Amino acid sequence: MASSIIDPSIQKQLVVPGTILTNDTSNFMRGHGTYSDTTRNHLKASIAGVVNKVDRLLCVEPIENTRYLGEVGHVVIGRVLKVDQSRWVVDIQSRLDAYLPLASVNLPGGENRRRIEDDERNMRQYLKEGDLFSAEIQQIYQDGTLALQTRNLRYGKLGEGILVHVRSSLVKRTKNHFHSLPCGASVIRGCNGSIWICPPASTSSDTNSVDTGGYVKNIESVSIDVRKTIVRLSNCIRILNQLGLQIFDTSIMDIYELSSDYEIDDLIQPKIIQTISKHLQQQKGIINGGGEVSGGNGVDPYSHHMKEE
Amino acid sequence: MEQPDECFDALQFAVDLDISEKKFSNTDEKVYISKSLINQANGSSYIELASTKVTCAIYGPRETSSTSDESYSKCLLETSIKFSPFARSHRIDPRLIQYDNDEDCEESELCSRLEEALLPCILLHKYPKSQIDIIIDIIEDDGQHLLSAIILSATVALIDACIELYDTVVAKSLKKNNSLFTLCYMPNLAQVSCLFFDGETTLKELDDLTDEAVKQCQLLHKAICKVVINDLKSAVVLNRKAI
Repeated sequence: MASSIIDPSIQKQLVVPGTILTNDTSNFMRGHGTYSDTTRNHLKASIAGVVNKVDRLLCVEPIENTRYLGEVGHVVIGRVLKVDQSRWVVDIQSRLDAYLPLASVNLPGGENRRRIEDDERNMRQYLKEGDLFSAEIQQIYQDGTLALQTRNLRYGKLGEGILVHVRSSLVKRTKNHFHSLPCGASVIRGCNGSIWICPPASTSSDTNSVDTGGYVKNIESVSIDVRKTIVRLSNCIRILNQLGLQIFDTSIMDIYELSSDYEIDDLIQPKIIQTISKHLQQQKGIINGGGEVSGGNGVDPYSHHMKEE
Repeated sequence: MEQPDECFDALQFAVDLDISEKKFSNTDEKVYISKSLINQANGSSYIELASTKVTCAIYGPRETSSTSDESYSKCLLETSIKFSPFARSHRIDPRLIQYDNDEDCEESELCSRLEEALLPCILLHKYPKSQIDIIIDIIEDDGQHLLSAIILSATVALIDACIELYDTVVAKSLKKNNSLFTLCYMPNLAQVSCLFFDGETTLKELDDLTDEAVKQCQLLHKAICKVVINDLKSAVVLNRKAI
């Protein structure tokens, strides 16, 4: 039986594992999702996806990439799994757990305080098992393990709010992942697909964090209006996830404004999500040269944003 | 028995193969393949082969709790297979089924066969310090196709989970005179990853069984490819990528 060789114009072809991409291994470089069969001098696909050819680099990209792949500088939201000796083990919804070394956090008493032995024994007073916090990826070890750091005052333990899990590929990589939305709430978009929505940061908690290094979080009671805003925002982000749209501050606010016609608990119903999607297409369709209202026309209404980047 | 709408006869794909009426082939065998059923799992599938029905869920790759030396260089595979009480004509009491330590247990034997079939096909060196959990539920077992349905469902679920494979593995079970022959085949590499035989036969019959199984595996491979590519097409539309 002939092996499934696909035609030379392999760009954008859909393949299954084992499909031969090229016989000419000398001219092509191997990218993600491929492997080279040296006995037969073939380059083959190892996952099911779409072939992407950039000059001499051949790679196969999965359509819905399920696992988060970290890069240095990404903002992530993680949950502490274990308190190890001088580091915390963190779950960031990726293939491997990440580490937060004790040397990479701000200790109470100021940033440049000398570290003492007692710090190791008091680690649980800062972060214990089950705590959520935001951090930045500091470096990636050879086996893929990520090392986090919370040296900036923006990062640290998270207090009251809602955590929403979305596909990590939908979280748009921008310069700023901490947003203070005009509707009256704050959002942290973690690149690993965890999005944190919380009450707006008030000025009093800023002075707190200078002194305590992000240890103590504001736990005063949240008013019912702010709670409603936060829940509405979480449903809007879930709608963006379901529609497969990029998640950033403008897109969240667009859906939030379109959702104001509906009750908060109606926003999870499929029919209403369809209606909102149509309204969004109509809104953005003008910029894209007029798209059809139906969902599957293959055009992302936010694609013009990506071209500007 | 009613079949789901998308059932097809595997022989209909035999367009470029030299297929003639054979003693072993059974044209009443229908195949149904579906994937991405279980949302919480990274990959999942549901396979019907004749009247054997099997579902598979894959979690991973994720951090391994094992501290053995080999876990630092490659991925570990943890398999778990469970029979439903109503899977066979006689009820299987779930309380009587032992795990792990019982050597007579059919479930643990199926687990080791599945591992033997799949380990050569996964790029284990790409996932150090991780493990892949494969959980298989047997909904119905017709006595012949169980092992091949298990291996097929695991393959489709691995493809759904975007775990790197050398090839799309297919397996075919043939029954002849009370002996059961299962072949696990990688079509693009033209390699057999494993072969199981329970029973008594002559060498020539074994050769014939192998040839027949290879041909039927190639048909099944076409069926799996068709399903996977169709799913990819609808995923592409859903993800609004311009193709």
